[in-house]
Parts: sequence; C-alpha cells; structure tokens
Amino acid sequence: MRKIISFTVLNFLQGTREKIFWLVSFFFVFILGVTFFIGLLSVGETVPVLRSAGLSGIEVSAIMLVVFSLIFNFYREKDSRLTEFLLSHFSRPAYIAGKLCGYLLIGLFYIILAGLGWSLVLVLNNAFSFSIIPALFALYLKVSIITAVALAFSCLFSSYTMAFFSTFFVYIASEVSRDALKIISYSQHSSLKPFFKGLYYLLPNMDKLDIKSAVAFNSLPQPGYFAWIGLYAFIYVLLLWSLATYIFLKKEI
Amino acid sequence: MFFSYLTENRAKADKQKFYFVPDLKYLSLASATHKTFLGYLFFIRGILDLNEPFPISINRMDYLLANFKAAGALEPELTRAYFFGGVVAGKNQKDSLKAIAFLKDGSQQKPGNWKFPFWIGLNYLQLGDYSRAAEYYQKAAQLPGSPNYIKTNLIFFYYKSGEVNQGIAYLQSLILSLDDKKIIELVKFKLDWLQRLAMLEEKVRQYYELYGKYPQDLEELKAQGLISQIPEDSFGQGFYLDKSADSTRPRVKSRKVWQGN
Repeated sequence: MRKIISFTVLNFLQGTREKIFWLVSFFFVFILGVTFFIGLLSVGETVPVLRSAGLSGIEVSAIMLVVFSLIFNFYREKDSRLTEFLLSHFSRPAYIAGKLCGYLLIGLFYIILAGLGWSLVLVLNNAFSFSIIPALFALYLKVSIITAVALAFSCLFSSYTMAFFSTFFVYIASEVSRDALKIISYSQHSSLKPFFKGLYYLLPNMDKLDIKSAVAFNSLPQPGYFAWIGLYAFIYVLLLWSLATYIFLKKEI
Repeated sequence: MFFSYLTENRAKADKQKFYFVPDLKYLSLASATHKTFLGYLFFIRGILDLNEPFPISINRMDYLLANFKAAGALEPELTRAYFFGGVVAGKNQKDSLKAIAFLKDGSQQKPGNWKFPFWIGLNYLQLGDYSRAAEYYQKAAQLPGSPNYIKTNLIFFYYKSGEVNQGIAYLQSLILSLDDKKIIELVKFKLDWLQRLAMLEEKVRQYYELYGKYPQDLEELKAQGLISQIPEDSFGQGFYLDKSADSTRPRVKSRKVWQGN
C-alpha cells in the first residue's frame, strides 16, 4: 500500500511539472476568454452560456490533459527503460495502481484549478452558483473513466499512436452512443438494435454522467443521482484497472 | 505591421459566408453531451445574422429559423430561441406565416409553456387575424404562469374580431376562476363595457328586423325608442355605428379606443 502511495505521489509530481499540464492550463485560459465573449454575445442568456461553455471547456481540456499526459509518460518510461527500473522497486499491480491513482489525482487537481478560474469568471458576471460543485464532480467521474481507458489501452498496445487513437475513439463513441442508439431505434434496421444496445451498455455511458444542461438552468438532480453515478464510475474504473493489471502482468516489458 | 497595412485592401480573399445548418438528427449526434453549448452557438449565430444582409440565393427567414430551431432542439430550455425566431426575425406577412409554423412546432414540444401560444397570437395580430389571435391568447391565458394582462386584454381581440358575445362568455368564466379582487374589478369593468357594446349591436339587429334597414347612427335607436340613451363608453370617447368595417351590416364601435380606430 505504501508503495502504491509513493508511486502515486511520484506520478502526480511528475505529471504536474510537465509542459503539457501548463499548456493545457493556458489552453483553458483561452477557452475562458472565449466563453466570456460568447457570454456577452448571447442576449439575455449570459448565465447559462457561461456555465455550459465553461463546463464544456473544462471537460475537453481535462480529457486532453490526462490522455496525452498518461499515454506519453507511459511510453516514454517504457522507451527509456525507466519502467524496468521502476518494476525492480514496485510490483506490477502496484505500478499500474500507482499510475492510475497518480493520474486520477492530476485530473482532480486540474479540475479544481480550472474550476477556480471558471468560478472567478462566473462571479464577475453574477453567474456563480454552488451547483457548479456537483457539476465538477460529475465531470471528474467522466475524466476518471477516460483515464482508466487510456491506461488499459497503454498496457494493451505497444504503439503510442494506437493507444492514443483507441482512447480518443472510445471517448467519442461513449459521448455519442446515446444519440446513435436513438437513430438506430428510429431506423428500419431493427436487426442492428440489439447490437448497438449491447455496445451502448459496454461503453461508458457519458450521457448518464452529464449534468451540464441541468447546471446551466439551475435544475440539479436529487443527491441520490450523484451516489449512483459515483458508484457507476467507481465500478467502471475498477474493472478497467483490473483489465490493465491483467494485461500488464502477462506482458513482456 | 507595415506590410499588413499595405495589403489591407489588396490581398483580401473573396470570402463567402457559409449558410448551412446541419440536419438536426446528425447535429444532435455530433454534439454528444455538449448540446447546451452548441445550442447556444446556433442561438448566437442566429442573433448575429438578424440584421445582416443576405445574398438573393438565400432565404433569410428559412436560414434564421433553421438556426433558432437547431438551438431549441439542442437545448429545450432555450425558449428565447423561439422568441427570436418566431417574433423578432420576421419582416413581412410571409415571414409571419413561417414564424407561426415554427412556433407551433416549438409549442408541440413544450405544450405547457404559455409563451408559445402567446407569440403565435402575436403573429396573427400582425397579420390582422384578430379571431385567431384571440384563440391563441385564450390558450396562453389558460396555461400556468401566464401573466394576468393576457387574460384581461383578450377583450381587445374579441372586440376587433367582432366576436363580442364570445368575449363576454370568456370574461364571465374568467371572473369565476380569479381570486385577486383587484383583477376581478378590472375584468368586471371590461365586461360591463363589452356588454354595453353587445346590447347596442343587439338593438341594431332589432332595428333591422323592425324596419328592414340598418339605422344611420345610434341616435336613431334612441329616436325609435329602442334605447333610452346611448350608454357611456368607459374606454373610448363614445360608441358609434361603423359602416365601413363590414359591407353587409354596420358594427358598433368605440371611438379612438386603443388607437385602433
């Protein structure tokens, strides 16, 4: 356990000191600026625009950060034979668990930082509400699942590009799966419906973790909803962590 | 900077604006869980283009409505998109008809929202169809959250459309449903006025049955003993007989009421 914690801290420190962390942070500042001006252009709708645009900006930038940072570091350690050195000190399950926890912490740290910057913009525009805290929580659950997906693909593929694009496509697929299922339901290809339904339940259901619209219009779901989505994300991350550990145990480094 | 200044008017590419709104089905798919934000982008696009000049090949109203429809479809809470599309965007009667169809579509998705029938009524008012305006204003008045002025001002449309008895029936039922004494007094005041107008119209009809022709003015009703005196017009500056409104029969109207005459 101590080894997992120390490797988590190591990954966290390494991840937050990297250029990519600050690049993404600057990108988010740019998004905040755009959000501010979009808010000015939306006649009488400044509050929901600032809230929805800010949340979308945090989500996209946080996903970019964890996916790029995790995959890049994983393969850099492997290519520079640092993984071999680390595995002489940590067991393989501890290595994977530390990696996952480290990047989950980086995601959390980034979301807190971005949330503070975003809150400042909201306060300046009289659009602040404490409902953004549960919104950031839901958003963090999404980021956590994608972090675990990125880790599983990093363990599975020997190529950096394959891991990156696979994660990227899983993210896109999980984002659009609900609407795709709707289109299939309305189409005449009823035979495809069970397949797409199965695919929908297999992929992370990002639509269920999304409360951007509810936050924009001050209609937050009941507290029970957050417990359920928390449990859903926890189980999903746990499964992906188990899968990543299994693949990593079987793999030659 | 110098070269940028020099090329300011010389090296401009022949830019064309892209007047395209994707099919809602695919737009919804592509926007994934960012529908609210994307909906607002279409809303802003529509607002920014409201006063822009359009090429002849582009139908201004269709394009604007497509943007506002996309905004409303992506974020159902964005009712303001329907306001801009259904009320602000139209410039002529043809546009008003399109706006009505657009608002009816929105109304089907949000049947409990009083604003949709209210805005539809507003378009019919612009088209001069007071009967339809009254119909939709009445629908709006019956929905929860509608302001009281819609309920009380409906009389104007019944008056303009010539459906005075329908207006009386509506106001009588409205009084029964109200709790606020001040509003009840206001409605009663309007009801009295409409009942006086209805009484005069009835006397004009009786005059026609008795003499086979319509009176020249309301004084004739008094002269023939059908009324003891012309009732007071509490809203305008006196009732009169208008022969220009309807070629088949004259109608009793209120002088200078609501600037309508």
